Amino acid sequence: MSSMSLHDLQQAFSNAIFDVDGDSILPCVKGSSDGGKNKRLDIYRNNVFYSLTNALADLYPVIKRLVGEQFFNATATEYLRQRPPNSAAMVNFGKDFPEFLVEFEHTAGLLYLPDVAQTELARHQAYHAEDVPALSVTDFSAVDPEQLSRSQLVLHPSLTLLKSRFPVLQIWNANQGDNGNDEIIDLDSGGSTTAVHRPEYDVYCDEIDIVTYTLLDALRQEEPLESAIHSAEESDSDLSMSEVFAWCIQQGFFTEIVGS
Amino acid sequence: MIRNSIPPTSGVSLKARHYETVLNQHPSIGWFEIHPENYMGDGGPPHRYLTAIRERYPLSMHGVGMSLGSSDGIDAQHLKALRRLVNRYQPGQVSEHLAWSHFKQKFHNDLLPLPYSDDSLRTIVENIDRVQDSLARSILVENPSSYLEFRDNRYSEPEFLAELTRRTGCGLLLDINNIYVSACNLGFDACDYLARIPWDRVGEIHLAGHSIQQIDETQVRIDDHGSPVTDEVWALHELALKNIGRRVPVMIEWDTEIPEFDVLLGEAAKADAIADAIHTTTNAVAR
Repeated sequence: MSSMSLHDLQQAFSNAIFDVDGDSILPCVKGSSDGGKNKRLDIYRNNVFYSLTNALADLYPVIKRLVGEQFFNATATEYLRQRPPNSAAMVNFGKDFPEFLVEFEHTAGLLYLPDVAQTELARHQAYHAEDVPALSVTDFSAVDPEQLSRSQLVLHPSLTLLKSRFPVLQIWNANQGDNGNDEIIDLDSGGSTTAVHRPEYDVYCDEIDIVTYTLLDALRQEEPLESAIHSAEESDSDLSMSEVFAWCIQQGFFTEIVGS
Repeated sequence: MIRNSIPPTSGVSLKARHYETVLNQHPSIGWFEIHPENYMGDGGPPHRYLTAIRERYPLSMHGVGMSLGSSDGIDAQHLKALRRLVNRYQPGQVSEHLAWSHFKQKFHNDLLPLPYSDDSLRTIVENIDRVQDSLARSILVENPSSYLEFRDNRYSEPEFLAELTRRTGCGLLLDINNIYVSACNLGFDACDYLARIPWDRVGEIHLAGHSIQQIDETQVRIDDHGSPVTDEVWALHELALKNIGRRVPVMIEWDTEIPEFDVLLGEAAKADAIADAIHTTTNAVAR
């Protein structure tokens, strides 16, 4: 065997780890039999998959609980093979797992699963989001109402808005802590709109009504407050806009009032 | 270049499950070590805890994701994220591994082995230079635990490390458990390995536990950092300290099956006692 460049060796090793091609690395490895060399390579394969599967389970504990450990581990293995991580920063890991669950043939039929995964991902991202002080009622009353209505509001970096046609929050809650997993949830019992956010230390998942969702979604798309309120009112005219807005301020959803 | 400045006493891994204990009890420990990869988010509780703990204790950053051995170079994003953390927390020491984990946009999340060839040496020297230039400080490079070796090795591992420090000015982080694990797995003599280490370059020592796996007729030692340091590793550590002839920072690593904080403190106290005994004897001889 002639010597391989470091580049080619790393390509061959990487292929062997992700099972693309297990054999081209073998001539570079010391040892008497291919079987023995493969067993040594298995230690690295196991380290890679074991550590990343654990990291994925830490990030998506409810998904693991819903599908069971064995199924979760098999799904994780396929996910890691198809979409290996590209960053060493753990905060970036597993972002495209919900998308994978949509595509993967063995989970594609579980339509609620990706939405539950999005909730878990939003919680993870809220936990690690930048700490920015929120605006208070006083901050808002200091601004001229005319000017305020023409302004855009910047949402807190920890805030994610989620909309699903399934009762995602109910599923998530039923799979927390000691809950016995024996609750029967009717998947057709109605959709959910959720705000995931972290005002201080703890991450919250709040069920929000469609008016609040529409208002925040419009603000997220940088609509001025006036037009965001208009869209929100159109979604359901029975709710009081001022109460909705006051609740959002109280939750610390806004961090900045921009321009007019 | 900033020189390393961690107290030459024992430190331990800082684990999320010990944050509260550390902040509430202010344990007597020389310093803490973190994996910077766990603090690369923009904010949140990890940063709040680390900030509070950093105010009380010296900190060392021990990277596991820089992939110094990558033939396609250092990941610019990762280096930027590390620089940001280093600027924010001003650690006394920054270290990484003689290994690779990143290749062509794939991150393997393990410390993968390098052949000790001239090609590897050129690559890793270039990568270390880049990291040290970017951080404006010298780093320490740690010897890995190995489960296989390559046919192409032109250097022994300690020779390779010595050459790295000579060419880049980096220091060495000597992981005694890794030396022991690799010696058992690859069949070399750990004392012979130690004899080739340039002692003046050693800036830190790591100690940890490992486990044993039976693979067919062979026992393989796995560097899983999930148990107390073994007697054999303590003995090798003592030998290393005698060779170094001065006090160095010694760190107890524990990454899986993490016990109560007191267990880590106990291991650290053991390391301090060994250093005290050697230091006292050395001084007596010098007198």
